[in-house]
Amino acid sequence: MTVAQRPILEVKNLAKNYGGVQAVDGVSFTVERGSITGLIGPNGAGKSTALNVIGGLLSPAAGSVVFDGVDVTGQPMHRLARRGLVRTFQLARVFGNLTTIENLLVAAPSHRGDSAIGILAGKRYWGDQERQMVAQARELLASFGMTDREDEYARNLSGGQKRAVETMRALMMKPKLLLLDEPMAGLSPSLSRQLEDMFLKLSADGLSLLLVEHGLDTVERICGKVVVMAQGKVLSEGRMAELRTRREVQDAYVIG
Amino acid sequence: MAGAVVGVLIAITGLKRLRQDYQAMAMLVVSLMAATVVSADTPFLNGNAGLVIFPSFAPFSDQDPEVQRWAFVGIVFVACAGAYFLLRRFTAGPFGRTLRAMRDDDLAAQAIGKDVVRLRLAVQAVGGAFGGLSGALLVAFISGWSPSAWAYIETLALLTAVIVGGMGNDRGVAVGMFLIGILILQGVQFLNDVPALKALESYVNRTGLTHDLGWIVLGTLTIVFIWLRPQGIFPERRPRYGGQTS
Repeated sequence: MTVAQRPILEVKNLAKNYGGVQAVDGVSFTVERGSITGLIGPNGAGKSTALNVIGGLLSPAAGSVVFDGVDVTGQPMHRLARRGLVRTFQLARVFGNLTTIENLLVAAPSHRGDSAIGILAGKRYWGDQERQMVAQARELLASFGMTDREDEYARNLSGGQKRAVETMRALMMKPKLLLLDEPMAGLSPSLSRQLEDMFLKLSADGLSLLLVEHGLDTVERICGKVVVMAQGKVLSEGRMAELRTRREVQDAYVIG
Repeated sequence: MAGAVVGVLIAITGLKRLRQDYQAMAMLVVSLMAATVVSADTPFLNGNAGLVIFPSFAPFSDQDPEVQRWAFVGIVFVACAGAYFLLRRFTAGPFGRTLRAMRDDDLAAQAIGKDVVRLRLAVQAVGGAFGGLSGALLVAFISGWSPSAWAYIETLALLTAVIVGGMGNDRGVAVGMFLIGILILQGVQFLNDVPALKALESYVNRTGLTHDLGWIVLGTLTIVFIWLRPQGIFPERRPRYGGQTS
């Protein structure tokens, strides 16, 4: 199988424990290229831990993570991000003392102004790239309807806008796979509809997404495959509509 | 150079795992340790008696002392200006933006591919190098050095300068340094010439009153600024990218 045919993400027998608690216990699943895959389950099922391990924030006790055909198990978050595996956080983490557009610009990958030469040589070395990035950031801002917030400090934005900034910031990195940790939490229904449309559009453009989400309606609307976790294990896998009818899933949600 | 090396060493050993506020504490402790080591180990660097550096300033040594002093002012000024422009390169461009992002949220910075440990090391090295440079200038000026010449309180004076001038921007810190370092710390010397204070000093029978007044003013300034104007004289400026929006 060539790299291009392999799934963008392959998780095998992933395990992570906190002391004696087995938070993730032998989890395996894949995310196909260009798909939106959902990861759901009751509270404490281990979804966020699984996401943290995949994203490089935690290192696994066992198992492997293969991203884009390369084994990246245990690599730190910043290295994964540079490879194109970018995550967002459950509580949007924006750079509050940077303006909205700066939040986007700072994510520009391998900016020449970040290099030692760039620092010493000054603007004539990185000015062109900076202009391109500003243009790219403005495009994103326009597509999220936030052009008028460009120079606002991110700490002054509303919750939904912060979430949008976090998503745009991730997109500035030109990721291959986006890990989203409850992107709809705390958003108004209309805002989360907008964000859903945005995700669908991104996936149509070839981006793969893995979505941890509590809102099952959202999952049903935008996710192809859905992986259900409970008590650290994968319980079931399939399309949301058929999962709803399965006994074990219903049980997990009632008991969970 | 030595400053940079020491800075990096400290950073590698401890700071990799520490949060920023604890890093600052670790640095202070290391500075205390350094001073203690020197004063305890007499053969090494002559303890508290310090070192005397004879060739004070070769190119001007045959000149009149007055000329020497002004030449030194010139050298310090050039060094400051050079440091300022070099540091602008670090803070004004994309790299400064990256550093400010890391200051705000280092987890999110990692999530967008920033190697926070390496960045901290770089900052530490640059800070250490400039610290070393200013130390060298000081030693050259007083043509001798001992740990007692630079105690805790001097460190606090610098902190006051940063708070008064405005944190997080070069202009503010430069102005703060000028105000605190030159006008207040050195300015108190001239208070001796004020007759009223002179009278007060002999009245309360306490010599060195004016010198202490300088510290009192400093402490008060710190409190007043933190309370009333935490952003300093020059607040951090909001960067704009020159577009149609304002």
